Amino acid sequence: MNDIQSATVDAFGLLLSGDHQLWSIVFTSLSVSLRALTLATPIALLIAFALAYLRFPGQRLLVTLFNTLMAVPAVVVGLVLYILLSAQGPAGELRLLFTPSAMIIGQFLLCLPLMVALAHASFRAGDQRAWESALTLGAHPWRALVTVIHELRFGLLAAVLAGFGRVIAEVGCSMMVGGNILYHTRNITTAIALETSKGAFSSGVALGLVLLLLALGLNLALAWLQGNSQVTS
Amino acid sequence: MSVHGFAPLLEVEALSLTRARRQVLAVDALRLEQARIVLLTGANGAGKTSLMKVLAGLTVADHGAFHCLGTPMSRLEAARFCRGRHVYLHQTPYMFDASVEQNIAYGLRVRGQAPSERHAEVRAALSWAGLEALAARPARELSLGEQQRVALTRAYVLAPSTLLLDEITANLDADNRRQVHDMVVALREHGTCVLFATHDPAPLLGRVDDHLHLDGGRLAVPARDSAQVVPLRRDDARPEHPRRS
Repeated sequence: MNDIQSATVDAFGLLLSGDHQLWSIVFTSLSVSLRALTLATPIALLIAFALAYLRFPGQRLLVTLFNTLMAVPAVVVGLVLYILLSAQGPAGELRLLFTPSAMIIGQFLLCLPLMVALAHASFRAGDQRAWESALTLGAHPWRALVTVIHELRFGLLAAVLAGFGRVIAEVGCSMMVGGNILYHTRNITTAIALETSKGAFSSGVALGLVLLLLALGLNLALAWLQGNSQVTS
Repeated sequence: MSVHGFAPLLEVEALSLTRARRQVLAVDALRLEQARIVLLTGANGAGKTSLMKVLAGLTVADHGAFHCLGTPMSRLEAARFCRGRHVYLHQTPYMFDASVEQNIAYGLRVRGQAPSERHAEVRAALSWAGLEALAARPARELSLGEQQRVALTRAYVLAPSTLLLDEITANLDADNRRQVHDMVVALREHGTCVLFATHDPAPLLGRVDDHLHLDGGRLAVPARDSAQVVPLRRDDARPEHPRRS
């Protein structure tokens, strides 16, 4: 118990001291995860919309596939990507292994199915009359899609935040394809794993606190947006 | 050519639509012409909504020969052509999460109209519908009758060639129903063809030009004694819609 208390006190000290190594790790985490999320969001929304609103063969199968992929462990995605990107792998020539780009690809693959499944549920639960009203009033289908996304923005934002939560907190994939290289590919979760194995609990707790604060900040932002909308609508 | 001397807005022959292995529509022929109110009746499940969505371009028919303003078109071309020209209104109107004014401006905004022109047209439409006092109100906070009037005004401001009204008075009280009927008649005065689906045609009888009846997806003109068909009005007695002039 005393260990946890002293580690927490030390962790706050580290955070407030502006420790360069610690904040570089935080920056790597945010940079990789936000870029993965930026890539995945439009693709996930398009796939989810197509699955919810269009009619084509194999639609149900695809929904089942994405629902299944939601549960794939990060370490399995990391393993598959490692095999693909390793020197002997089919994409070895790209020399992406142990780079932030490999981590971005891995996190993209991790959050995409989750975001598709949640956004699909949001589109399905949404009012289809929004889409029809936009079209019948003369909106081009792309413009009508923007309207529908705007109408369902809170449910879809929750899907994006869930995707962010999935990638910012994963450790297996980043460890395997990033290699946990300091000032290059070491992010919050891989650093926590390393610090814990070394017995440096205060650093691990400090990074854990940053993760928690990030999650809290995002949820507060979402709650503020929703509250703001209820006031103005 | 129509009796007015203009090509019909839409002619369709051998229209069919199947959903979930059930034939929803099997219409031999249908023609929509300018400045008419056409009553559309039929039991629940008769295909009224499906027909209207096909005519609005929201659903693509499985088969059918389409002529839009006299030009032959494929099913997909006709659907694209009809969207934005043939405006469909739901039984319960969908209000975008915005003010009444922004809702009415939506169609003009997606057409890329300049803000100053758009504002002027929206103000004129609000005045036409008597909705000026509600302009800044969030549309979703209005009563159903008010929302239905906003939906009609949102269509009116676009000067659509055809309005497809899907039982829009079904949930309204007598006063709101009368207001909506008056607006529909005014839209005909502006040259719009109005296809009005309803289970309660009585209040409209005497104000409609034609009456169509759907039964099991098949279109039939009902017996003369079941509806009063009013002679067509003269085109030259019709005022122009501001966007058409």
